[in-house]
Amino acid sequence: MPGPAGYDRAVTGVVERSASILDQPEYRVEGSAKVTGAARYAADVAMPGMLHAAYVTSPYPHARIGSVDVSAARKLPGVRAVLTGADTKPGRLGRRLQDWPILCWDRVLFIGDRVAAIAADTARVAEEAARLVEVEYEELPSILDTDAALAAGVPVLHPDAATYVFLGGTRAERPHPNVQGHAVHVHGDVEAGFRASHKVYEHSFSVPRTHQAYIEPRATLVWLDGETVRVVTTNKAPFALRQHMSVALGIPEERIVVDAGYIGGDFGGKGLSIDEFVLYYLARATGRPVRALTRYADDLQATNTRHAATITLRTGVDAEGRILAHTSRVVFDGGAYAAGKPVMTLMPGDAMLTLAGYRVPAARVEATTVYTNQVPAGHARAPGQPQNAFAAESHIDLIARDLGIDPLEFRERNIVRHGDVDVTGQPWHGTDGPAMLARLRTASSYGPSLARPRQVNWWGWGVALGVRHVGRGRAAMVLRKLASGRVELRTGVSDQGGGAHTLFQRIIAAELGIPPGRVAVSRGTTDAVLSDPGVGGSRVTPVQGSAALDAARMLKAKLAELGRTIDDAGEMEVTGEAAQETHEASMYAYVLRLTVDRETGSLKINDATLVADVGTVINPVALRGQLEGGFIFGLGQAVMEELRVEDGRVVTANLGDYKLPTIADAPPLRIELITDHPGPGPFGAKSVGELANPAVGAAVANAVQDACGARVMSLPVTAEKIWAELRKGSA
Amino acid sequence: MKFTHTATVAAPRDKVWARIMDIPSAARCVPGVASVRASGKDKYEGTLAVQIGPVRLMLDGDFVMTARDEQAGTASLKADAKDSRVGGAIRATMDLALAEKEGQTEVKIATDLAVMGRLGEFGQAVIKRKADQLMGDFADCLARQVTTAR
Amino acid sequence: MTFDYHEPRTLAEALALLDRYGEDAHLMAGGTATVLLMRQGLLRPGHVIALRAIDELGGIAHTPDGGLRIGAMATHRAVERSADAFAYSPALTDAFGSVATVRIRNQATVGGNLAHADPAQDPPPMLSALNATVSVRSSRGGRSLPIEELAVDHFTTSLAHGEIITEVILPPIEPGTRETYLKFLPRTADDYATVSVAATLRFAPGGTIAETRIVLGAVGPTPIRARRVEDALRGQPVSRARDAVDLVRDEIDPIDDLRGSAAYKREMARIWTGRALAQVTR
Repeated sequence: MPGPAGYDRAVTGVVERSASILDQPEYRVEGSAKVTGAARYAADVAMPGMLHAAYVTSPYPHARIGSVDVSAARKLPGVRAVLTGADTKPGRLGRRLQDWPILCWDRVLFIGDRVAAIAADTARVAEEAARLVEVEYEELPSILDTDAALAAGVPVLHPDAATYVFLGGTRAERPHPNVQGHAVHVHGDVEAGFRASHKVYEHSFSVPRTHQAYIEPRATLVWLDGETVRVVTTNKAPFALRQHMSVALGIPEERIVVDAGYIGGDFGGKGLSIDEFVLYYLARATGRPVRALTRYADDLQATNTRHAATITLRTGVDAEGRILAHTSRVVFDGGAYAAGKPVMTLMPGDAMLTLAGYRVPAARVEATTVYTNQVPAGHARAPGQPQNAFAAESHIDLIARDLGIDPLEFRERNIVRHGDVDVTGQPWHGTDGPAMLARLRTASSYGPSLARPRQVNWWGWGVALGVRHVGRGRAAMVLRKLASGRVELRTGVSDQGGGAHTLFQRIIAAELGIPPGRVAVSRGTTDAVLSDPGVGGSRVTPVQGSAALDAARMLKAKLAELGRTIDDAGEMEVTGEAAQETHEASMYAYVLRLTVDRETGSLKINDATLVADVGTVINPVALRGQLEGGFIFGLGQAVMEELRVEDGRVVTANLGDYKLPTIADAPPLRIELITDHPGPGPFGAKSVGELANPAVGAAVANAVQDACGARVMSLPVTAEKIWAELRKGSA
Repeated sequence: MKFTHTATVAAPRDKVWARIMDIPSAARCVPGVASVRASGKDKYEGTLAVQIGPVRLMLDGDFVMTARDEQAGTASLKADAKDSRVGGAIRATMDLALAEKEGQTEVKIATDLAVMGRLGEFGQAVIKRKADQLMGDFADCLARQVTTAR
Repeated sequence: MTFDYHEPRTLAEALALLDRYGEDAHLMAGGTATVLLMRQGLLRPGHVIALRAIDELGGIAHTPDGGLRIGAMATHRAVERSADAFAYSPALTDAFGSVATVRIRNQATVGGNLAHADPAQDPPPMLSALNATVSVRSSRGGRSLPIEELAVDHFTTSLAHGEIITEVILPPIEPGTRETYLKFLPRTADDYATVSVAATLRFAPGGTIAETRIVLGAVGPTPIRARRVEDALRGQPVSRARDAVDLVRDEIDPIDDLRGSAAYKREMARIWTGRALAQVTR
């Protein structure tokens, strides 16, 4: 298949700005360091006298720990420390709810849960020692699905939940002790809406666990420098990690210094890290630096994955196909711990967004995350959306088809317009939905569905849309005017590959009217820069980008005050701050054209069109990379990715079994940018990192039905599922 | 992972029962079992060598007869074994059921096997197949032994 | 884990090392399988004997009779790009070109592939359909065996310890023979087959099928020759192909895995055998 389309459209912003810098394709600030190998990732960092960590992990999904005999491991030459849960009890870690034991002491709750940790002279010796630790387990009945977890009289996986630390607030009431988080939202008169409906549709969908599949496995190095705990990590939110460590370990934040440099991919998975905490204990026990490098197999089996979910949607429509009422019930499998979720609700961020992008006069949305004895689930690119968008956009398509309305037309009738209430109950003031769909129709050459002859290969259209909020939050960074006429931005943002530092450089260069080469961006450890909320939540461009812009404006103002220009001023320093609190969302939509082989069920995407409302473009190359990458990321989850678990054990324990799409799987993608609806970010920018991936699954499922009549109600949409549906139809 | 094997033995049930209950001798019907000895009441320990291509496993462990009902012709065994070089372990429960039909005995073995640790990372599908093969060979060997012992 | 690494320059040296270290030695060709197994801790040899420096194990060339010799250490990529291999049978170069990615194909070797005996690999079914023989040497001498007798189970060959695969010999192809290799990849282009089919077929002057060999990959513990399908076709007109392919379902022994359920693979084996036959009878 041909590769992605090239630059087929000039990018134009409508917001006034002081330079044409933003119209030029960018050079990555860190590009040369990365391609020359000079970039230093966490796993590249070594300290003199450094020890290596290995863990003893549970082979059972749920068991009581009897005895832990570490004597043989301690005797192995080269072993410097062996710690068990008794040494870290009652320490627990987490981003919001600290429920994940640093090391388990009484029970293990999933296969891979840690029972003991070893520090040794070499990784090999540490692993050897881990094999020598004898743990006696008493297996307990395990809860492997959410239905089982919520049944009456089942074991309570976290009986001491009331004693857990919940950061920054109070944990909401829970309807069942095995619930992690639960929320209900109601707006409008739902019952009246259903009563007035011409037809009511209900469908259930399921979405499996997946992995974020970053290239770089986790790596962590911890040592004690006098009173200071020093941490080198792959975590993308170093200040948040510092706080989590401070609370979990009882050490003041100012005594913890976190260094998160280059990060080799994130996709939502690098916000939680679990090694820092136990490494602190190992470093303390040995007085030496201790490093843990995760094997990819461990990353796949024992970190925070994307939640599996079952989603039931019910929607009432009038005779013209207009949505009148909607209810939904979403149950996410949170796995053994809720530690990976940073939000107050302890759910994926967009757990409640079950019919995004449409006018919904009345809705009742209920979402729950549940404890099970599975690998813990956390955040993954646009948390909650890949699950909900697959369900909602499949549901919409099924309704349209049943009503005999073309699926794109059905969306045109129902897409939220300015002032309409959407599924959240709030009036919409984001993207002009009808205009976006009009662009999509034209750009994709979408046409009426044709009569389908029953031949082996036949093709179909698939439509799906999505909504993503523009990130919110506060950030600050320091900008220094150097004597050389250059400026230097000092930021706490770690670039996990999205191009944050290049973004800051270009924003400042554009605002100051100087070439980007005169703007240096340096990242500092948590003791050297102003506090930063970290990468995530579609935040970097609108929040940290705005702080960079504010810094440039402060400098400009200061120069004006002094009557100086950037070229003749002396050294000075300003602090830029931003508080992006605007609730704004932008939309995107796909049309896919694909072909299904009726005999095998396999599919081939022939062509894809993406229309995305991105606001002002700052990094044209990276923006395109995010959209293309988002599409491929979504495509992987649409047709092949599944972290398969059998009896609590992840059986896709390597990237040979957990397949990701390669460039050879990428169909041609046409991208149309909507840039004339400015967002709250710098110069009118919005967020794109999590804009394009969630809707791909439904677009594929919808196109498959259009092509051959088979409807797949679960992800991934595999050839075998399509084949099975076709067989059902012909039987 | 679960699998069931049946073998028909041309011998009466009591004879088959007696043969199987001689655990150390019956265990030798599992290809690769090196040594089995009693280590307590209804407890045994032994070693099983398994080879899948270049991968050689030496599983050390014990098994326990957890239930035995001669009247009904049923018994249950639980085996735990680990390979400390590779860093993996297996746990298996086996439910045996003997039924006599016209002078012949049908031996049914239902196995539930869990493969743990690093070992489990080596293609579960292949391990399942190997274990399935092993239990199949065990059932066939038992059938042969009892028949020739007659 | 530590091991000694040996890099003999001649086959004789390699055989001597293999004899000296016995079961504690492991041969490494391209290393694409061996290194993975060692990193997983599943393979822990005391001695790794690398074959990369042995020139006599390389080379791809026509044999005087019009067949093809492929040295055991020829890489997949070398076969894929070899003019001699292509002239011998484009289906053969297709099969080698279907393996994994270019990076793997640049490293993986023909002999290593055969010795690893992974039933989902692409080259073995094609080599088998082309009636290849494998030459093997040990310190006690040499022998050659039909490729069908090499793999006996998952990752298991009939080779004795001390034996090294030296070359694969493909006999001349009878004039009028057609060949194909089809690989069904429903997930991603970079994957093992869900099912693969290699087929060769030659018509008799009267238009009936004189000879055919059909070998399937990824649907059993070894590549599986569809003998019943072959028998049903030999001496018959092409019109029999439709019914004959149904027989393949009972000749294979697939397992449920991430590439499909056993039931699905059984049906896909039928479909793809049919497609392969359509290609060679067209």
